[in-house]
Amino acid sequence: MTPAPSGPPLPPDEDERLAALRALGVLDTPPDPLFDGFVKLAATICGAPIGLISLIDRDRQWFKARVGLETPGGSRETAFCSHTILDRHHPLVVPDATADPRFARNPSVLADPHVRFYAGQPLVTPSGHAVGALCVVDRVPRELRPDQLAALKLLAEQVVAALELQRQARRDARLAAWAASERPAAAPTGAFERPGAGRERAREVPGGRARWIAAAVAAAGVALTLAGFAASRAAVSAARQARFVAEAEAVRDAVEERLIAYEETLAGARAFAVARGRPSRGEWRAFAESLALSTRPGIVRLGFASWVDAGGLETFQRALRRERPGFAVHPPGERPRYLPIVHFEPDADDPERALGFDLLTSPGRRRAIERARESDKAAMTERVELLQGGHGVVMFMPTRPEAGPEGVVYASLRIEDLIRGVAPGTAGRMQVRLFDGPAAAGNILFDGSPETAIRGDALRAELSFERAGRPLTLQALSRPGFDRGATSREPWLVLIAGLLVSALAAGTAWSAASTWTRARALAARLARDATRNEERVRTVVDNVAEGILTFDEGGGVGWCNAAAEQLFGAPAAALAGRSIEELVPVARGDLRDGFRNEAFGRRADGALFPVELSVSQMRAEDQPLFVAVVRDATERREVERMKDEFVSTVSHELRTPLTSIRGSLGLLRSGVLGELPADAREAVAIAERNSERLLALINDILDVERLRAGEFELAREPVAASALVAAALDSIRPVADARGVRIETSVREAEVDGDRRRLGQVLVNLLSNAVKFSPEGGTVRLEAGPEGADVVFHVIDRGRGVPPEHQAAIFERFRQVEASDSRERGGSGLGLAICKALVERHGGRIGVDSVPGAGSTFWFRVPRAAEEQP
Amino acid sequence: MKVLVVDDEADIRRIAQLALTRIGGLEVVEARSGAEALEIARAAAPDVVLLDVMMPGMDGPETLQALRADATTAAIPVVFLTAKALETEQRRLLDLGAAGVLVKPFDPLKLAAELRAVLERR
Repeated sequence: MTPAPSGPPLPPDEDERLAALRALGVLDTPPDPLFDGFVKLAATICGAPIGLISLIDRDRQWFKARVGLETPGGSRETAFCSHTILDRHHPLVVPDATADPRFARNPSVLADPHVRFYAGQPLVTPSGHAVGALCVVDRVPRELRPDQLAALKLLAEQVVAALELQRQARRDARLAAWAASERPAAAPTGAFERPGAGRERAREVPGGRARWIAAAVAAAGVALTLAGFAASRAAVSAARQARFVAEAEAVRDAVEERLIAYEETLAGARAFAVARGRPSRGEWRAFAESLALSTRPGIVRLGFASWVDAGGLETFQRALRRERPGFAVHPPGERPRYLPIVHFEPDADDPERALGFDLLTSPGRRRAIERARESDKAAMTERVELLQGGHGVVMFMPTRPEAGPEGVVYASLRIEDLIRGVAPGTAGRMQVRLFDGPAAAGNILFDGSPETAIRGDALRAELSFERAGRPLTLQALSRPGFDRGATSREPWLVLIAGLLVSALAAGTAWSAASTWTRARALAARLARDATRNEERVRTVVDNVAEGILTFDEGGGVGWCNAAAEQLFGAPAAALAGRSIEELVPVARGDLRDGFRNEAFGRRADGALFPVELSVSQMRAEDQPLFVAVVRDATERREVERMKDEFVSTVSHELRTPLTSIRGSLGLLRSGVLGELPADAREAVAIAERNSERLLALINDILDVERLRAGEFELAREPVAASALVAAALDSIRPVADARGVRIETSVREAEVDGDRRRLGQVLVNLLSNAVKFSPEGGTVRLEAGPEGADVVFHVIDRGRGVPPEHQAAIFERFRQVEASDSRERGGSGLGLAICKALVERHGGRIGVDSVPGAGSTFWFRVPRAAEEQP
Repeated sequence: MKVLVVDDEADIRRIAQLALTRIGGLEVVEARSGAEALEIARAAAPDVVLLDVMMPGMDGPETLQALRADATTAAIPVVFLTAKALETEQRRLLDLGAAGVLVKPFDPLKLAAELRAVLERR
């Protein structure tokens, strides 16, 4: 058992703090609607059932206001707020009290009210003492968003301001009463009671003046509130974007999961088909029924097709007719091979005449089937017309039974059903589209709501993934319903709360301002506070390094900060009214919410300078307002340029001495300078080998530099895969022989459209890695062959493999799986980065599949030569 | 065949000289700078000039221009030897009127053959 923790330490200013608390004169006063309002607002904004204004007395906590809780207070020792007052500058947030050693054994956690979550903002008096806290409490573990925390802070400040106002009102009332008793001649013209003022009476100032002061107080409050509102809007805008992307990712993940599940379904079907040789109609139906296809939305048909050679067609048809009278392969015509559909479920009646349809006659299906056979995995078509009508995709998997004919199993998928099934709640919130390939290519598989117009401020997310050998892109656009969620109301709540509080404060001011002396002092102080607050905001905005400017829908610049004045070389007054496009020449259409990119800025004198630009949109009802944040990138670009120059210089300067070293060694080795003793020959060989390594590193650095400078021009021509393989083998063989590594090749001939030298470089690089990481005496396998519109090369080793978390990173610059690799195995760590850049230059892709400990398969695919395209 | 090797680095000159004479069987004269190269080219009448690009004083391209400007040396083919391996740099040198560009570090065993190949390609 852990002992119950003793209470929190006392703050260092405990005596002064208690004095400040007593001076407020608020302890044990009756409930006050003003403060009740504050806690209700805090609880509402934070979505918490309990809200409290807790004041920490010498050994108790006492609630000035509370919502959702019956007790009037409790012991200081067990109070959460006793911890909050220890740090005057920060809120205390306890996401889960049971997981926090300070609170896990706290009675209010273990028993009623079962606190799990607590967030408290200290109440700090103008003299700098934390007298208590404004807090919210929940019975489930959770967090607060930044905008909710900001609101809590704003409200806490208002609570303190109200406590202070009441204190002064009481003091002034006493003074006024005293003044009245001193000068009895001046009879009061009116009197009223103020809260906490007891029976004291005071002279009233002329009504008009008091109203004016109250109005000034209200105005100051409103100004502060609007500032809070704007800050809250910005936080919500960022949160909104993040929330949207997260929601879109959830949809993408769900779609992907379902596709994976269907790949698995298909794998099950394949296993079944392989086990049965060629399953009968009844067997296939029983199998499909066991899967309960209706529970797999999106699968329209699960079928089986069988390979038939031209010569065997008649026999095949006759055999089938025994089970399926009238069976005929169609469309008719002589073809070397057929792949007719033999079974499909559900097959109640066959209006679409799927039975006997030769899948090879559909080009889209044929391509996918070829890919499926080559990869021996599930392969999906692009968008095709489904036999059942409508559009969709078909997923294939080859069957290669030990005995019996070969075939394919397939699942026809209707994407609408699939997506509707996985994301039922998203319809009103986001418009989802699914594309085959990148969205820009426009090969749409599914369009969630084609008829809906997209709003200008819609959020957008594009998420790519790959399933069954096809690259897919999920595009999501927010719809009005997305913003109808609870959270987007928060800034408005802050606004309403602030306005309400301002009105209440104005009311307090009204009552407090009823003596003239007091009113003047109060007005002056509030004016000072308001100015100070505005100054504070202004100071922050003017001191950020980024230029900040606002512009309206038409692009007209409104307001800007000091940094923007300096960046664009013109005073704010000169910038106002100009078009944002003049200042940052970016197409207007692009300058939307979420824009974030490198661009150029134009100074008043016309000079262009590089900037990083981001734009976010705020909206006050129907008036969109854009905020552009502009960061000067001149220095960063300069640093990048210097770095490139440095790399270039270093690599060139290294080549000169290396020329002498390699030259001398080469001459020594050649024997033209005289025969060397055996030991000397060995030493020369070592020196030469290492100078080769140094040169390779320098050349790699230069290659990277060339790629960065965009200097690589490809000399593209049709090149036979076998020629690339042969050339690569020639150059790798000495290294492989030295390590005793055998290289097996398997080439299915095809021509690539590529640069012979550069593709050779890629192949040699991958082979040399494979050899390097293979155990001595091991085998490396090199496969090449056509696959759809590409030629694919695989380099397979049985080395230690690449852990999944490194598989993407190894294609970046200066990456090896372990830092020690450079020393142990040689190599600059640049090779794969160069390969990736070269393959991508060809419009191809490169990647690795690896099982740590079992080896790796590095592959790349590049387009086939034009006349080769299937 | 007589080769004029121009390089400010004595080591490189020596390696080139050894490579061209011992392995290539060529005759070699040397110059330490662009200015010296002009003199020797006029006096020794080489068949080809192997010219370093980056040299203090008169650099490679300037030396090439000066050789072209002088009637007695204008016709001698010039092959640059450069440590800058970028393609753009090599194209720039060819555009200046060089017969070819060889890259440092060179393989001494192949230098003479490469030089011959460049001259044959012309």
